[in-house]
Amino acid sequence: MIKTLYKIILIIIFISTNAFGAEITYNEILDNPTDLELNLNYAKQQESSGNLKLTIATLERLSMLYPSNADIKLYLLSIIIKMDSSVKVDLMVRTMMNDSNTSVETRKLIAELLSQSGDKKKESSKWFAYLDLKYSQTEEDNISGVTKTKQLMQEGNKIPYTTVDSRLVVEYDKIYTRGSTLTVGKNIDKSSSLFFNLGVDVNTINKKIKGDNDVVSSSMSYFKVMNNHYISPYVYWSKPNYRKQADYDTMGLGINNTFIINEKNNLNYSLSYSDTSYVQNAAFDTAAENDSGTYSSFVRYNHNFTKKIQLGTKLILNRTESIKEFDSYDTRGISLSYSHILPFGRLKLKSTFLKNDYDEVESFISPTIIRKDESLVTAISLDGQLTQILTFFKRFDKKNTIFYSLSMKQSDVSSNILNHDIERNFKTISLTKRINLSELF
Amino acid sequence: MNYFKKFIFLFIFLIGANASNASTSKFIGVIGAAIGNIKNQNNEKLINGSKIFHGDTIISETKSNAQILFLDQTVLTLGEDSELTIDEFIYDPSSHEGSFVSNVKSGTVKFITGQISNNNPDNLEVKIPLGTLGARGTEFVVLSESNNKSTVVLLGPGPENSLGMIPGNLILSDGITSIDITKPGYEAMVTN
Repeated sequence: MIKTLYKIILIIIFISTNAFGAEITYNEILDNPTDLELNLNYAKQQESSGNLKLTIATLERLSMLYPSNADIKLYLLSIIIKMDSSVKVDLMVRTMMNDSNTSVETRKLIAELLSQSGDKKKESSKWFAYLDLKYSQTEEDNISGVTKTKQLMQEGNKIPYTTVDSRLVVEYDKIYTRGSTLTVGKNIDKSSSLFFNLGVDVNTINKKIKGDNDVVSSSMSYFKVMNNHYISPYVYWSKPNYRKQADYDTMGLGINNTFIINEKNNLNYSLSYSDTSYVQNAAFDTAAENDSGTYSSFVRYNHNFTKKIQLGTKLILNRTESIKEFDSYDTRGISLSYSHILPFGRLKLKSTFLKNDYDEVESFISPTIIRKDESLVTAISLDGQLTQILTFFKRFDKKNTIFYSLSMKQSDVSSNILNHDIERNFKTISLTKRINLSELF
Repeated sequence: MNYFKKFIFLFIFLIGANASNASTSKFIGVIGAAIGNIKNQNNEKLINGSKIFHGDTIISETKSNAQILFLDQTVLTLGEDSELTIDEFIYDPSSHEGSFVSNVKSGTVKFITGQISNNNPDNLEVKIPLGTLGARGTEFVVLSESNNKSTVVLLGPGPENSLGMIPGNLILSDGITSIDITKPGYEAMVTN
C-alpha cells in the first residue's frame, strides 16, 4: 500500500513539475517588460495563482505601452473592481471615458462591468443558501479491525481471532454514503457572518452485518474578521442511528482562530469540547457506560511557499474522559501536511502521528498492561472541480458546481494491547453537486 | 613583517575592490515602461528595459511617465515632472528579506508593494520632503507638490476585496505624530 502511495505521489509530482514547466518567471519579465504576449500571459498566470498585485502592475504597464488596446484596459478594470477601492475604479473609469480612443462598444462593456460589480455588492448583504448533494464510496481492507497478529488478548491470554464469531469478521468491504447538507448563511456586516448547517448522511456497508447507519447532524458557526484575526466560534450536534449497534448523540462547541502573520505565514489554533452520550435501552442495557467527553486543542503553523504550495505543521493535545476509566486517555500528536494547487485540483499529502496513553488497565483484556497506542495515519488526496479533470464536462456544468475528491489513507496503529494493533487501508471516491439556493431569499 | 603588512594591505584592497564592484554592478530593477523623457542623475536617457542601480535618481519630464520593476516585485510608477531616488535596496531572493528606502523628491509616484514589504512591512520606507511613510500589503500614491506639502492616498485593496488580498494600510509620520490610513481613497497630508 505504502509503495503504491509513493508511486502515485511520484507520478503526480512528475506531472505537476511538467505542468508548471511552462510558467513564466518574474526574471523573464524583467528581461522582456514590453513583450505584449509574454506579459499578458504572465498577468493571467499571476491572476490564476492569486498574485493580483503583479497582475495589476503588469496590466498597468501594458496599458501604458499599448494605450489603444481596450482589451487590456477592460481586463485591468475587471480586476480593479474586485479590489474594493472606489477611488481606483473611478480613476480608471474616468481615464477610459475621457480617452477619445475608447469605442462605444468598450464604453458599454465598462458600464456592464460596473453594474455586475454593483449586483455583487448587493448580493453580499443578503442571506445566502446552498445545498450539497454527495455520493461517496469507500473501500476498506480491514473493516472488522482484524489485528496484525490475527490474535486477541483476553484476560491476559492470547487467543486466535478465529475463535470470535466468524460471521462478524469481514476484512475487505465497501461503504456507500449518500448525503445532503443544507447551508444557510447571512452576512451580518462587513466583517462578520453567521452560518447554519443541517446534514443527513446514509451509510450502507456492503458485507459486514453491523455498522449500517444514518447520521443527522447540524451546526451553527459565527465568523468574524478582526484586523488579522479570523475568529470562528461554533456549536454542533450529530446523531448516528445504527443498525444492530448502540446509538449515541454527540454535542460539541469550540472556537477557532486564524492569525495572518503576513502573506506567507499564518497561525491557526483551536479549542473545543465534545460530549458523547449513548442511548441505553433493553437491547443495549450497558450502552451508557461508554459515555465520554473530549477536550481537544491544536496549534497549526502554515507557511505558503508560493500562492500554490503550502506546508503545515500541527501540534495536537487532547484529553478523553470516559465513564469506563480504562477508556480515558491523553492524546499527543503532530501532523504534517503539504498542499499543492495543480491545474487539475488540489493535491494534499498529510501524515499524522498520535500517541494515546490510557489511564487504567482493562482487566477483561489484560489485568496488568495499561494500554498505550501509537498511530500513524498517512493520506493522499486530490480534490477540485469536476471540469478541471474532465474539461468536456464544462458543457453540462457551466458554473462548475460539481466537485470530485479522490483519497487514499493508511492507518497503522501499534499498541501494547494486541486487540488494538491494527492496520487499515481506505480508498475513497466522492462527487458533490452544489445547488445554489440564494435566489430563494 | 613588511611582507605581512603588504599581504594584509593587498588582501584589504582586493576585498574592498571586489565589494565595491559587487555593489555597483548589480542592478536592482528595470524600467518596464518609459513614455516620453525619462532620465537618471547623470542625465542619461532611460528607455524600456534600462537597468536601475542602487542610489539612482529617476527623473520624468513633462508629459512623461515610467514604470519601474524592482527585483523584489515592488513596482513604482512615476507620473510627469517627478523625481525619485533609491536610497537603499537590499534584497535576498531566497528569503525574500531586505530593505527598501526610496525618496520621492517631487511629483507623483505610485507604489505597489513587493516581497520586501510582504515579509516585513517595516522594511519598506518612503521618504517624502516633510515626513516618512510605511506601508502594508498596499497600493498607494505619493504626491510631493513642493518642499511645503506632501500628500499620500491609499488606493487599495479595501477590506471587502474579493481577491483574497490583505487590506492596505499606510502609516504617515512627520517625525512627531503619525496617522494610520486603512480605507482606500482616504488621504493624509504633511505641510510645513
